[in-house]
Amino acid sequence: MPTVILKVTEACNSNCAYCDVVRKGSKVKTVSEDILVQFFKRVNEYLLERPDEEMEVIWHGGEPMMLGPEYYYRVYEIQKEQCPETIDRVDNAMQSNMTLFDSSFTEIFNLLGIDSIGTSYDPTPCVRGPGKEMDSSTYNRKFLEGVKRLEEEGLSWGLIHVITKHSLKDPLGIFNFLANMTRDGSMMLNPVLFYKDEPRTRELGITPKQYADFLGEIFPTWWKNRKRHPSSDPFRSFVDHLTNRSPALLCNESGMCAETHFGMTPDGMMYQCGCASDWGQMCYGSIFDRSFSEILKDPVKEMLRERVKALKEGPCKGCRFWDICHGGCALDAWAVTRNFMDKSPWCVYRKRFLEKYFEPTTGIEYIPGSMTQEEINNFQREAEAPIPPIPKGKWHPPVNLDKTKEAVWINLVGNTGDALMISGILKQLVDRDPSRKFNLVTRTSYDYIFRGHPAIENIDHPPAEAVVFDTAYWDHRDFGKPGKKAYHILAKMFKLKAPVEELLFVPCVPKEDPLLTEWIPFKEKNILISPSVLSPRMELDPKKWEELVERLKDEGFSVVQMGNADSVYIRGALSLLGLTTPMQELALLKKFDLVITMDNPHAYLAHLAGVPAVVLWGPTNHLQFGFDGQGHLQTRPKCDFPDGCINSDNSTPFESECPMGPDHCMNQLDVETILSAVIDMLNGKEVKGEEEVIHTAP
Amino acid sequence: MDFQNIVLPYKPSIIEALEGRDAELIVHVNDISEIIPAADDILSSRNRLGSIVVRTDRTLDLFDLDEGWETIPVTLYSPGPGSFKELQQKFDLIHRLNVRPFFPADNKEAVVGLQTLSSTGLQCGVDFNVESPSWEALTDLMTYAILRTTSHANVEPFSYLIENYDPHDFNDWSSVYYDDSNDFLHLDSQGRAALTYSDLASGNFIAEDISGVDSMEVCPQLEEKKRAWRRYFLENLPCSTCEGWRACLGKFERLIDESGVCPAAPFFTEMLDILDQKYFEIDNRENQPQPEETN
Repeated sequence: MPTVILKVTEACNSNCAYCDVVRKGSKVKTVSEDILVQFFKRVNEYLLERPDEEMEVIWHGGEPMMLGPEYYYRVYEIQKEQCPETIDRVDNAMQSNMTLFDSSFTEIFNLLGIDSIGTSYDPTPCVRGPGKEMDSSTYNRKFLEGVKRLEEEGLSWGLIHVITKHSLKDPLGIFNFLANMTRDGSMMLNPVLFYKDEPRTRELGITPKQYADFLGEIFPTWWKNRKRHPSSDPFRSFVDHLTNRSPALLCNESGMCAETHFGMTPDGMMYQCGCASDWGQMCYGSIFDRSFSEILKDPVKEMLRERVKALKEGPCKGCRFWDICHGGCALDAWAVTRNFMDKSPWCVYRKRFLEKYFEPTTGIEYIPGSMTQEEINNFQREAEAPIPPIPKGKWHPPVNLDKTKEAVWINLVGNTGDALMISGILKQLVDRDPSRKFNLVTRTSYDYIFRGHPAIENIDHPPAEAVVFDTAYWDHRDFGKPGKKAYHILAKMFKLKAPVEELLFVPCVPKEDPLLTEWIPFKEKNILISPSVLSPRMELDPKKWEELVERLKDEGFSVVQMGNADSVYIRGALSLLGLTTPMQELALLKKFDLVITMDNPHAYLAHLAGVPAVVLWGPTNHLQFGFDGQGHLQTRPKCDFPDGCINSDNSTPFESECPMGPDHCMNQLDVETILSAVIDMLNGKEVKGEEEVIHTAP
Repeated sequence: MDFQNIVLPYKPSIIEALEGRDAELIVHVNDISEIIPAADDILSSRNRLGSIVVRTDRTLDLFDLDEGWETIPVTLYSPGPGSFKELQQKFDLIHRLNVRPFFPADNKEAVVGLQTLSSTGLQCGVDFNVESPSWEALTDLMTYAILRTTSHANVEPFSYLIENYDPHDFNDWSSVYYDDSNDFLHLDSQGRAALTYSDLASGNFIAEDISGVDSMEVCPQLEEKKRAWRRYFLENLPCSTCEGWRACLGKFERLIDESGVCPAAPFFTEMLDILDQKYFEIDNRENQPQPEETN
């Protein structure tokens, strides 16, 4: 809906320190009747051309109530006369300092459909008020009387506080003051804006960084009390944007102001908006000379449209806050650089506030449209517990996969198992929507998994400014929570909707290599073992492996060991260490009846090949990484980390030795237990074992 | 103006003057011997019995409870529970009566005693009319009264706040103490009318008698009281920036020290947090969320 900010009068009974209108010294102070008539002719014309649209007229000033109720009765008559078929589509609103409101306005406001008045307040003395001294005590008293009368007349009000240098002294005090005074905390905290370097700019002006820090000091309190103060902006808007893929944005964030905003001064001159008219910029000529439709085609409007495109491809390219900023207000840019095409310097505030305050306080990664209301509500409980600040550099890249139209580059971080999970998720995505395509940042180790993948278009080095999506699921807020498996976190990151199958995928299953299959002396029952692990904390004593191999052979099994060339060889097993690639292993796996493995890629490959596996777990958790259908033997660590020392909450070096030495958790597993699990697995029975070991049935 | 709740001292002639009003009367008596006669006088005056209020310097264990009070709501201001060993002997009787003990907020043992009484099923309350409340003990009691899910009787003013809490408005709990000027009219022993206990004590009357109140169309003092909160904001007083304002409303302004620190602020801030928790927990239960769409 287009909005006209109509400066109905530039006269005012107050002399607010930051107001540009009262300092303009305009010759024409009030909109005359002939201008009103012409204005509503133009409104009618516009609405007749667009039968589905409405137009909002904000009666602004100066102080619009200085004109008295009679003026607005005349406005109403003129609206009826000039907009006979469209008056129902004219929405009137008003911005007033409220000091002059009394019941004589009630009837005409009802007729005009004005049921809420926008207003401003400043607890700081001598910022708002009449006269040279800016008598705030008189102003504030009259303001509160006006508010009381307004409420008695059944009208509501909304409050703006303009943040000046004075406000910076006590941000939380200002917020609490306004939240208490308005009762429900409805307020808008806006920064003061100046476009000229003059004494009051230096006395009152603030920087975007100061604005961000002001909001940041308040934000933890607001976040804690956000249900009590649901309508405190800009906080409310930032939270709303998380749940809304098409958020309602203000004129300075929407990138749409060319279509949505107009301003008019008392002499009938049309401007881009109220601020433009105050600053004397972006003038479109007289309402007598130009219709709204003509103004929409004005080169200045065209420039504003082009500006959004240019910023998106230029200085703002790749900015993760683009969708809620769009480069900010052109006038704000002009005030600093004298160039409308620049991005607004105020975008700094948004980035600083969200990264320095919002995200660490809430624990929510700020991706507009990425959350449900329920998920945000769930953060209520978490917010009550102290949330450690999130270290720098651990954020996922700012990519909303649902919203990004550009080709996304997947930066695959992790190991073979992680690559197999991502491949499986991409397969499910492309099966549901064959048009879904991604690019893959070249990773020599795992390219083979994605070559020929139906969801992958390119595997290459991404161009500069590419939209890159990081797969570090261990930095996700859900990681480490009970019941949250790595696979499902990745699925969530990729916006794969339920039901999610724990599918692993490789595009081409390789053929058996006769060189290998003919060389391996397979028996009737064959077992593959893989003791290789990256962390010494996850190692099972090789002696136990040897004993296990011996027992298995006694039972008539053929035992083959696979893994990296530098893995410890287990005596008694046929070693294929360093001889097979994962793809060759995958081809070979179908020759085996069962795999005994640790938490390593061989467990993933067994799952992918559909071969039963007994997986041995200690410092990592099968509930996080294990697959349904496999047998899991999980020890309970008897150390300071009963839930396992290798997880995102601990700073345990992955490569370090466990201080418990040979008594570390993995070695709690005994050969009998493993053997018993193997036999049960092969017989299709539930895996059973001894005390201190959790067994998960296939 | 027509006040439906009238607070007055026990004086038969004043009760007589209120005959047939069908108002709820809260009568202060000086001695427990006056409880039954006062109740009888109220009922025979064709008014409703709100409560008989009595102050005593005896602890509850030493207080002489009377089986004859069974149908009389009694608000009892006492220094504390006294010995629970002794009090236990009276539990049967006290639970049969409609007595609501209030203990002073500056006595830690008494505040803890309220929690114990509440856990036995006896309604009770905190008397905040003291110089220096024990905020720490009160915080424990408040948390217990508002959040504990185990069965316990109401503890005022917390139970009142649970019932009436509005997170988006001011929350005045003066009516627990019959002291909300919007609902209660106070008469002195000469029948003169005031809006609050403190107005009564300071001689700030709105009328010389009840008929003077009846004939009023508008009471300027009442209008002034409704606007009184504005003073905190117009004068930028410390209370205006306090996070606990909407539950305290400046009741403990007198405790603010020279540096602007108020010892009551953490208590009321925490109380609002807990009330929010309670309020929105109920709200959440009523609006069960839909199952998640994604995994």
